[in-house]
Order: sequence, then C-alpha cells, then structure tokens
Amino acid sequence: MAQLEEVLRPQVWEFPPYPAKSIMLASGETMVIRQAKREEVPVMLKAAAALTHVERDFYDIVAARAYAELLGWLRYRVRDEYCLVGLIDGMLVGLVNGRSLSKKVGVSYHTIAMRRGLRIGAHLFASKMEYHVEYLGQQEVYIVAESPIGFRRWMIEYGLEKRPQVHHELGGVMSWSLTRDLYFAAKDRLVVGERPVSDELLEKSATITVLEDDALIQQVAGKLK
Amino acid sequence: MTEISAYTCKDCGKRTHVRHSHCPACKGTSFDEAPLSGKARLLTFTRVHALSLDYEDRHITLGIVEFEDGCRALGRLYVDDPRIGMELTAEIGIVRVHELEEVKGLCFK
Amino acid sequence: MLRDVYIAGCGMTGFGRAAGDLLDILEEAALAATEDAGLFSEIESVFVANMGAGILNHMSGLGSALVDRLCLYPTPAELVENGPASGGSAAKIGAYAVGSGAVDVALVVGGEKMRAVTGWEATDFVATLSHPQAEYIYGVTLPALAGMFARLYMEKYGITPEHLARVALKNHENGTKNPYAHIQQAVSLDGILNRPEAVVNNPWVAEPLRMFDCCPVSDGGAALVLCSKEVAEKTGKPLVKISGIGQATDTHAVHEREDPIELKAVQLAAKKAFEEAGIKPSDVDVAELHDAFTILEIAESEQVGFFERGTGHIALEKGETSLGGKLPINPSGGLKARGHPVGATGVAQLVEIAWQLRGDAGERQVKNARTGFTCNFGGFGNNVLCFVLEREN
Repeated sequence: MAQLEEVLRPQVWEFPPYPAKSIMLASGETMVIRQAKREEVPVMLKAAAALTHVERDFYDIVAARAYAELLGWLRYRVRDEYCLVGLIDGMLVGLVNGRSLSKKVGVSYHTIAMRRGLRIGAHLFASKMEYHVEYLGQQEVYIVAESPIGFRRWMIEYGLEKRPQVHHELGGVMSWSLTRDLYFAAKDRLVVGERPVSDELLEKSATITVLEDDALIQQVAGKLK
Repeated sequence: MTEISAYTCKDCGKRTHVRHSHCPACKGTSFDEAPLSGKARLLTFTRVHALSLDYEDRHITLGIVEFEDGCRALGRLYVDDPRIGMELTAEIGIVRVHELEEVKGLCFK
Repeated sequence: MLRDVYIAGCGMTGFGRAAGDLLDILEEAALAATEDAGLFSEIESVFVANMGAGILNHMSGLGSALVDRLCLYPTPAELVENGPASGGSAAKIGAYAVGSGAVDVALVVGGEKMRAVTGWEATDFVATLSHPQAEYIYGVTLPALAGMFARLYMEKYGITPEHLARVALKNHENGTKNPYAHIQQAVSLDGILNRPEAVVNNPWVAEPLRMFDCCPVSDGGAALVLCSKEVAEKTGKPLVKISGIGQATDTHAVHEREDPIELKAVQLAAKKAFEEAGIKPSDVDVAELHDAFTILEIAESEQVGFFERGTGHIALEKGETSLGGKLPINPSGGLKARGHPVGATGVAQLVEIAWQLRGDAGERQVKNARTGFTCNFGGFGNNVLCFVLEREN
C-alpha cells in the first residue's frame, strides 16, 4: 500500500517561500498576507465548503474548485501547489492559490475574497502574481477565470496576453498569460504591501480563524435587504 | 457620417455643437450648419478608468474644449500630458464601438 | 401652492442588494410609509419614481404595477422619470396634487433595482442621461462629468484630494449609524489616501476622482405619504410640513454652460425653495445633499447658500458639516454610504429629513432639528429639485 501511495504522490519541488507582507485596507485595518502551511488546509476547507452554496458572483464554482485543489494539496494529489491567505487579526478574509507547472511557468488557480468592498481580492491576486514572478522567478503565469467580473478586471488592469494554444488545467476556455514584462509594467499600480511584517503582527496571524458558516456566507453574499 | 456639425445662429452668430430649435443666446430660430473643425483650447479633462463594456481600454481621456469661434464641445483626447489651456486640433475618429457599430466623433490631438 | 402639505408617513427599504425584484422593493417601501402614517385606503393618488426599469429590469408601467400589488385600484397612479432626480420630481408632483386640493392623501414611492446588472452596465445605464450625440457616444459616464467638474472646482478653490476624502470619511461614518445604509463601514484617511496601499484600495475612477469619491450602485426604495393639514393632525405624529419646493433645469450637455462649475440649476432651485419657505439658508439645521460624488457635496453646500463660494471645504474641515457640527450634512450617510438607487434617492433624502425633524433618526439624530433641506441633483446638474421641510408643533 505504501508503495502504491508513493506512486500516486507527486514529486515535490521545494520552492522558495512567499515572504509575509502587511497591507493597510481602506477601513484602516491591517491585513497580513502570508503563505499558508499544509497543516492549515483543514480550516480553509471549512471556509471554502461554506461558500460552495453561494451562487452570487460565481462563489459556488470558485469555492468548490478551490476546495478540491486545497484537498488535493493536503492529501498529496496536486503537485507544487501553494496557497496565500489574507488575515486580519488572524481572521481569514481571503485566499488565493496556484501551482507551478514548471520552474518557468506558473498556473493561477483561484481567488476568494471573504469580505467585500475592501479590494481584498485585488490585493490577493496581485500577491499571487508577485509570488510567481518575483519569488518563484517564473516567466509567465497562465490565467483563466470563472467569474466574468473578476476576469474582465484582471484582463484590463494587467493587460493580459491571449494564449489560445495553452490548455489551462481548469478548463477549456481561452487561457491568458501574465508575463514578467506585463507584471512589472503593472506593479506600481497594483502590487503593494510592507515587509518585513512585525513580530507582533506575525504572531497575531499565526493561527487562522474563520467565521461560522452563516456569518461567512452573509459577509460574502451581502446582507440581502 | 464623416463630419461633426456645429450650428451658427443666423441672428446673433452664436455657434453651438449641440443642435437646438432656439438659439441659447438670442432665441433665434434659423441656423447655418457647418462642420466643426480647427483649433481649440482645452477647458477641462479627465482620464476615465471605469468604462462601459464597449471599451477594453484601461482608460480613455475625455475633455471639454472651446474652439476659436467660441463653440464648445466634448471629445476624446489623444494627448499624453493634458493641461488646461493647451491648444489642440480637432479630427474625426472612431470614439466608440457600440453594439458592433463604429461611432465617429471629435478627437483632439 | 393653495394649501400646506405635510408628511404623514415615511418608509424605506434597506439599501444595498435587494433579495426581491423591483416591485417587491416598491411594495416594501410603500407599506412601511403607509403603516407609519396609518393611512392606506385613504390614498387618492400614487406617484412612483424610477429611472431605469425599462433598461435594467425590462419593466414599465410601474405605477399600475404597484397599485395592483397593493390592490389600491382604481386609485390613479403614474410613473415619474427624471433621471436621478426622479424621486424629487415624484415628491414635488405628489405635493402639488395635495397642495392644489386635488387630493387629500398621496403616496410617493421611489425605487430602483440596479444590481440586476453588472457595475459596468449600471454605469452605462446612468450615462444614457447624457447628451446622446455630444456626450454619450464618447464613452462619457457620470463619474467622467464629475471628474471634469472636480478638476476645475478643485483648482479654482484650492480643494485637495484630502478634502474629498474627508467627505467620504464623514459620510461613511454617518452610514455606520444608519441601519438602512448600503455601506455601513467606516474608512480611514490613511487607508484611502495617505498610505502607498491607497493606489489599490482607492483606484482612479475618473481623475481626479477615486473609488471612494463615488457613490455605490444600489438597490432600494423609499416612500412618503403626503397629506393635507387636517389629515396630518389626525395621525397624531409630529407635523412635518413641506414648506418650500424649488426646481430648475440647465443645459443638457455640460459643455454648453458658460462656466462649467456654476451649478445654476442648484442655485435657482435652492433659491426658490428658500423663498417659498420664507427662510434663509442659515436657518437650516440639517441637510441632505446629492453627494453622488464627494466634490458635489462641497459644491452644493456652497451653491445652495450654506457657505460662501470657495469655503465649503473649509467648513467640512472644521467639522461644521459633521454630526454635532453647526450644520450636519448627510447624516444618513448620503448617496456615498446610504447608497444611490437612482429613482429612490430624492424620496430617501426627504424621508431622512422627516425622520430628523420628528426626532426619529436614532444614533444619527441631529439635536433639536426643526428645519431641514434636501437637494436632489438630476443629470449632471441639468434638473435639480430642492425642498425645505419644517417641523411645526
């Protein structure tokens, strides 16, 4: 059995870590973005599971797929996956994930903002691109999206290039690419944050907490009035 | 349409880009129609980032200008560093693709 | 008007994203107002304010639709459309119906369901009020018109991005005290302006305006029951009188205005409302201005006559327009935080002022407010309605 498991488990590339950074949001709250550890996946699965029933803005599809991706990472079924989390005082307010296709090419998976109106998704997506280009040193990142709103925003803000020949592993739609050049052209406008993060803030962000399911759903779907 | 018109009041000479039944200055009711072109001075401008779905640009620049004869108009600016008071020249170009139709309008360079 | 008109009942839905459709929104607001007034079968005329149901919701004939929902037929009803001043217009027409003696009780309901479409489509929908050949075809949006206005206004009077941000700060803060507000989240000057993160937190919309200078896209409804003095006295509620109404129009295309920063329709509408009420701007205790863009709150506060030209931003800076200041402006959070369902806004402004004058405004109550003012700005200032409300007893 152990032998069979060895066959199924992907080889792991010990990639460079994403150094934590802090971002002050419009509300004045400080969000820490740091790399999630594999053992933290269960708490993220809980949050993702809650959101799989939110139809608004394609949260259901995004959360369901992110759930599968994160579970795949936890149980050694996806290769070279990572996850970055956004935390305010340890509370999970968003996550992004992706993986390395090769040393030169990254693949963007999903972006989930768990609080709205504070551009948390924009900060997390930018951090993901920062990780691939600046820390993993990749030449480009393949991108597709389920949510037309999010996608149009990325496409226009970053000026993504089409990659019709690339079959992105999330599906058969047109793939887009963020190249190093596009990233550095957009960096000043879109990538922010302070490093290093103080020990005090890191400590506050050491343990990930998530809202109860109902509260999280309401925070994301908006209080229907 | 390859020209953008302006209307000159036959009574007082006031020229407007917008067509009215009555002259905004003297309430006159007859006008000469002629193409709007030539040099204009920039009165104000904005770089617009939140655009309609008709645009895939990250932003466009729009401005209000005043032609030498006092006629005012709004148009698309093709200037890297717009400044209030700068002199511009009007051209006709495609300013929008709306429901697959190219729309022509005033462009200032 | 031949006789005085009173507000007997007020109602609102929570602004933001509505669970139901446009008719549900109108119904909820109407029932809240009629319940507040204790008047329902007495209603003799219904005026519905809405700007975009035809474009946004594929609906028309909203007056008839609402009387059917309320089973108020055969009560006369109509739809009033006047862009983002639709609410003010419907309230004016309702007030004239009562003031003329044609009816004793009128129901005015404003509502909009904008979040049925994407933000891009909502912005484009509002832009359809611009001049079709001279503005719309260029990709003009309301933020674009406001951006061009702001550039000139700021340059002329030394208004800085910080002044604009302070309008947002104040109105977001007020919004946290308004359970009906779309946005109940305070913002910080560091987060939206001073820190490097602000470039992402608060991106450009139409320079020099940023995201937090612009109102959100909202669903929501608001309603008023208007009536004669005899009817109002029977309700047992504090008497809130509509003592002045002013309306004025201006050029459709903004560039046709001699001086693009003169909001002549605002000036004239306010002047007429104050004259009709027989009061001065300095008599006002609380005001709701049309801050679809932060710059507009500053400009309107001057052009309706509260502050000398070029000093609105100074009054703001000194806290005079904050809750607790000399003249609180937009205690509801304004369009900036309460939200801006375009057809509902003019009615919502009147509801807020009526609540303030009755002493029903909860945490955001302006102390001893007896005289209130609203400014509902349609188009980009091409059709404006102002109201003066006074508490009588």
